[in-house]
Amino acid sequence: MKFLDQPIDQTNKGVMDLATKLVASFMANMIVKTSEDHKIFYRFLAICEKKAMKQQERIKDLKDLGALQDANLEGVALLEAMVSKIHQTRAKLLTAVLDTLQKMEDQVRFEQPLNFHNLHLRVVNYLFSYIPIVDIDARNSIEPEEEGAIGTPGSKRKEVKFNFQSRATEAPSPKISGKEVSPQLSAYRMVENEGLLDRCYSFERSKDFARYDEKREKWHDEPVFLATCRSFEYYMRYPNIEEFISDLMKDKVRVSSELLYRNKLDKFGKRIASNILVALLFGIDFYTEKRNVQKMKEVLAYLERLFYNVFALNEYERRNLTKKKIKCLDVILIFIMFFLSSRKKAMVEKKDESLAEMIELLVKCKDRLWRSLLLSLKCKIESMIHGKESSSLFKLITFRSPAKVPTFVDDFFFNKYALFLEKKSDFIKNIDKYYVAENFFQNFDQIVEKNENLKILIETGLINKETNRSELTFRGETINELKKSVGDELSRFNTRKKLAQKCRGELEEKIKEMQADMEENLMTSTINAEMIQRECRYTAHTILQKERDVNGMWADPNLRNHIQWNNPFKKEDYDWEVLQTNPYYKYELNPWFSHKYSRPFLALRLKKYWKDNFLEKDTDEKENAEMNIFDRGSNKTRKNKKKYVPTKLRRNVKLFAQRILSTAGTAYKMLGQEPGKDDEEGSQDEFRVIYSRSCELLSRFTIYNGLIMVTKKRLIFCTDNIRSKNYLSILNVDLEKHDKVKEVWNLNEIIEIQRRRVVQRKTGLEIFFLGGYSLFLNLAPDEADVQELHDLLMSLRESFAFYSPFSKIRSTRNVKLLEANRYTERWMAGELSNFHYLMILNNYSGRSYHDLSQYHVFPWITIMYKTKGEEHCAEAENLCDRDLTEEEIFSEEINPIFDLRNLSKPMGALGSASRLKSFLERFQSPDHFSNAPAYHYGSHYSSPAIILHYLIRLEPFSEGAKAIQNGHFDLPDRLFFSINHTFRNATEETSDVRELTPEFYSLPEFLLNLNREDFGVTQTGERINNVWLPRWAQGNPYYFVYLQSKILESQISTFSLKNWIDLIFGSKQTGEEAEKSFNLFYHLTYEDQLNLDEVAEKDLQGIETQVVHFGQTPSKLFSKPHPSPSSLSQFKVRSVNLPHDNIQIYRKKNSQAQLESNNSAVECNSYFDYLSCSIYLIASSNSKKIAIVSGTSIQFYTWELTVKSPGERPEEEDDPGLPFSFNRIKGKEIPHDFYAEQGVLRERDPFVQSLSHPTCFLEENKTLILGGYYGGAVLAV
Amino acid sequence: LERKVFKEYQQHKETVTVIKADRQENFCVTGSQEGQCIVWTVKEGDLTKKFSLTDFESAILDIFLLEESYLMAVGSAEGKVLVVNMYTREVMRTLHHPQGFSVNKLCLSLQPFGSLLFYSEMDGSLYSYSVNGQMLKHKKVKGKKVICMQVGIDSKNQDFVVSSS
Repeated sequence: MKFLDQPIDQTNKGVMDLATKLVASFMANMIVKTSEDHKIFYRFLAICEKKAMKQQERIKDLKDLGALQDANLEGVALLEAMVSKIHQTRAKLLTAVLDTLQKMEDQVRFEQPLNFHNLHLRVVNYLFSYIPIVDIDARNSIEPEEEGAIGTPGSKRKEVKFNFQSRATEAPSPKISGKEVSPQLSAYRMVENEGLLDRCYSFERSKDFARYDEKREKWHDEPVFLATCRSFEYYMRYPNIEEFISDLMKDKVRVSSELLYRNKLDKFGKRIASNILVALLFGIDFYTEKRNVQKMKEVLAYLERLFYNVFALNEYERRNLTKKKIKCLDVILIFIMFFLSSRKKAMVEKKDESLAEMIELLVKCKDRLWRSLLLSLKCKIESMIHGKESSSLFKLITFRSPAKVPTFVDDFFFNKYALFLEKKSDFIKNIDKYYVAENFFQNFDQIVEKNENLKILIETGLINKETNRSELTFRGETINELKKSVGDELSRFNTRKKLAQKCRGELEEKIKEMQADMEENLMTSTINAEMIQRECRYTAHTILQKERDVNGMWADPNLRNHIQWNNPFKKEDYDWEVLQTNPYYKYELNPWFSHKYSRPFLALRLKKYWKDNFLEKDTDEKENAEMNIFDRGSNKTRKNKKKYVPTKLRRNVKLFAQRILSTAGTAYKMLGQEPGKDDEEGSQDEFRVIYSRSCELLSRFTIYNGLIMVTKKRLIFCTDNIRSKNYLSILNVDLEKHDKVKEVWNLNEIIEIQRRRVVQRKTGLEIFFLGGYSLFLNLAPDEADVQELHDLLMSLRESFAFYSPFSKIRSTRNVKLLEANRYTERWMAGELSNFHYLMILNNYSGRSYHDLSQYHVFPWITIMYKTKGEEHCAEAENLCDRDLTEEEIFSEEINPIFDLRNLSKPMGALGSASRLKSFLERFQSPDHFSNAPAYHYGSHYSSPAIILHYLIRLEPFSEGAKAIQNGHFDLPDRLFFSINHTFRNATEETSDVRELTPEFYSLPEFLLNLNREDFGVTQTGERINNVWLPRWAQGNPYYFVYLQSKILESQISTFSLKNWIDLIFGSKQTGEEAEKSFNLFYHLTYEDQLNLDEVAEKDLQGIETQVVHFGQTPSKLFSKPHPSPSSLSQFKVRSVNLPHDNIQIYRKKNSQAQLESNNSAVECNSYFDYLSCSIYLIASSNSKKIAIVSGTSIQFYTWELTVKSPGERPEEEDDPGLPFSFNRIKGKEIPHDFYAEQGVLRERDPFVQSLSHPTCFLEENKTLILGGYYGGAVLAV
Repeated sequence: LERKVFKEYQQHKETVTVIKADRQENFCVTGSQEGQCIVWTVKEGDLTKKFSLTDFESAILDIFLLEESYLMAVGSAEGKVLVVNMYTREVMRTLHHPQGFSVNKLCLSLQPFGSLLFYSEMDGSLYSYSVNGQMLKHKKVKGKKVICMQVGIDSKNQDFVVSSS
């Protein structure tokens, strides 16, 4: 600290530079864990070491040459001391810095509040206290000149000591013996040698953060880096942190964020970002301490922008980054999240506690990110091990730190092995000697011959051969002894060897086990990591969206699905020239469907702005390959798959499933969705996979291959690939980085399960969930598996006692379900509307929104082009309102404006006689090339092409329409632009017999070109924009759909609808009846006409594609002709949309509608002239009660219907308007003032009296939920 | 029969203005004066918090539950209407009163196409919008104040059952 207390001197700049650089690098290092940052540090150390070495050499040289005089000896000692000091300080520096870093990391890890300011100071402090090293080095560089001049050793030593201790305090004028040498100068020199300072200054002058070299098309890395150093220098130089922050904010954030954009998160840009992040975080800390909210908010605003930049880039740039960098980004993300959460903490004071929820989320997210980081780190280590082909224990041991070895290698084996190695080397050394001796004794002559020295000795007679021999025999004895001892040693060694071998064997086994474990671990952890990372990204993504929604600079109403046109519909407003499209969003069809299966909502989808601008097409296959961790060979053909699905794959899959489930378990733990701690034993059981199978998930236009798993409470689908690849899907898409690979559904949310056909195999299953979504699975190719899964789901589903509208009917056949639910009867009795009934029939016959080849089919209801002008519209409405007799209905004269389509004929039979004739000719002329059965029509009434044709103006269908036409729309003349034109085609062309889709009766927006797609201009020169409607619709699609719906629900159509049902779903679908009514299509479209298992493999793909593109006929639901609806009732009018099925509107001609209820809890505060009272009908099985809630109390009444039966006129005695009579129940009044638990009187807020009184009756009046009290309490009474 | 408070739920900060429950008593939705809207799940008369909506800044005046389709529409004093999926919590649509007046009563219907009807006391008008944001009709209610609305459908057309006091 003492160094920092001093004002930082200008002359100290060089040192400062280096130090700031170090600090910057460390700070960066802390945030961005790249190894490059270490380099600087090590370079610094290396310089120190180099200098020390030089000094040592110099001393040695001086000593060798004897040039040292006594007077200089002390100098030498000093030098030596310095060298040792250098080493010491180096070591200290290292440990100190590492220590600090460790602390920092710990602090991050244990989530203590980060005080960057202090930490930063600490690092700086450590560094500064060791800065003299540099000075010594510098001084040493000018040592030679000094050598001779050293006069008085004592004084010098003192000075040097002084220098060591407080170099910086005396910065400008250090005196080192005789000559005045400025250490700063040398320090500068050193820095100058590196050329850093100059560049630093020149960079500063250029006033541009990062210069772009246009010639090289490259960013200057060094200046950028130096700039970060500068920012830290600023930080240290500014006496006032406020100035520093404001300075930073002024340009640096802006520049850096620009840099981030342009540079696409280059490592230096990233570093800058992180540095500035840290700096600004100091600022936040500072301002929060000072409670300067305004300033804090300013900083926050800048930070927010920066974060968003980083985040956005992080989201979209990941593909270009290597693993390491991704990791860095994760760390940045952690900080972002941490920051956001802390920010929220700061912001939340009194009122904003509603944000507490979000904070929870943020903290959770931060947790997860941190976990994912740790996991990825772990993963990396393991992959490194894995990648090293290490089979030997040694490598493993050396790779791991010794402290960790015992965890997976027994000490025993380790020691044994080491011992064995030692002995072995020992033995090899000794055995050489022994063998040499033995050879010498046995083959003396040969040796003599070989050994020239011996030869000479013998020849010169210096050695007698005999004597030598005796000597040698003597020696031989000794050798024998030796040999014996060696033998002993050998045998001993052999036993040891055996032992060692045994040990080794065991060790090897152990290693193998370890490796297998490790592989397993690696596999699991990569999958886990991938999953968790995706989960994290998903959460981060949603959090960001939420963050954008709630506040900040992204509070865009569009994000909350806001669409609004505040003027009544005018055709001109939607003209091509006038219509303004939303710049950010496209309208797409929301997959949500209502209980009547219509899809009325549009959703907004963000245009791919980011992607277009910032993401280059990446063809890095490696990256993708890495992602394809779940790939189990799904790109193989179906046939191959079929072969091994039951045996090998299933086994694998089960293993795989267990792994994934463990992940799922952890994921739930993270999400806090555990079912509760008390049943921990059960929880393990819950996550156990009961059933798993590879399957296909059909969603919109894409087919995902994956794995379906069932646990006790959940249904889980895991995709195999990041990229879907199935030749039957219209669009093959890549998952976004934040898309989950795993989707989980709760079993207790299942409403219904229906069987489906997929490519004429009965292997599909559609599961409907609460909340209006469904899941379409294809379990090809085994039909028995579908049954198995279906039964399993049904049995599991029944175990939930909790109420849900799941039908209790156990049948798995759609036809039986239809019968059991009594839909036909209900329709005939008028309880279901025609639209609803047709949708139900569609559903049960296997039509689905997920499969375009089996999209819902609806009839044309009018003959469109027969219009007589707009003025007749009122007549049209009247027509629908009129109650007609049966004769009227079937007479032809009733319709003044449009002809109703004859619903008893298929579209093919509707046109001219010549057209029908051509169809008949086709039917009668045999096809010589194939043995296909005869058919009337070469095309179908519903196929993917037709659906895409109709819905081309809405996403995602326009995308799909482009996809089937190789990326652009079809020719303008062939698009869907006029309803009349399409109808004419469908009744006049011989290749077109199309019917409609439910959207014609439920979604007006699909007729408008809201996305302003450019469909081109027709040959007649007219631009294709909105769909041209028949004249009677007044150009208003809302009116058109309204009328369409009206006509569909009218009595005329109700009575003739059964004929159409016969054609499409019923008896006239196939067989002789079909032939009679000209209703035979190509045989491939029918159920049970094709056995794909018998088709040769090479034809399979072709036939499947043909089936998919041709369209499929619905399953046959009725074998007998459909019954007629019941006779026209004067009173029972058709279905009611009140939220209650039991309410029926009894309606007489020319009279007001009245409500009657027999079992309801619906608020119905009407008819009464009470001031500020609400009236509730109370659900009750036997008595008819009503509650009147006024300002002071709740009173109960019984009521009776004075109308005796629906057929009679109400007796109008007292009150002609009311067919009810009332009696007050006495003694049951409930006053509003309740005493709470602590005896506190709850007071009513008078505000609620002007509204309806917030009251709710539950469980037949047993429980009352009351609101309207001060303080927001809700009372259960 | 004496009524006693057996449970008190303290989640809202300010006075609860609206309480609605669906017919099957699976859900209960409460809205408060400061604009918080909480969806509760009901089990045997006991409420547990499912989620809350914090999109509003002023008092919630009416909530409409379209039970069979699991939708709810919430109207507030700031003139904002939200259509929310009660299961997935997804905000299906946001609409505003064209003049920013309060939305006092509202109704949602999905037949034949989705439409939303709301009444504002401040200008005494009924507005009907397509669920996708297109205004369909606007009508002033003369001299009377609407206190309850229901949308009913018979076989032929869509009737607004409006009663006033």
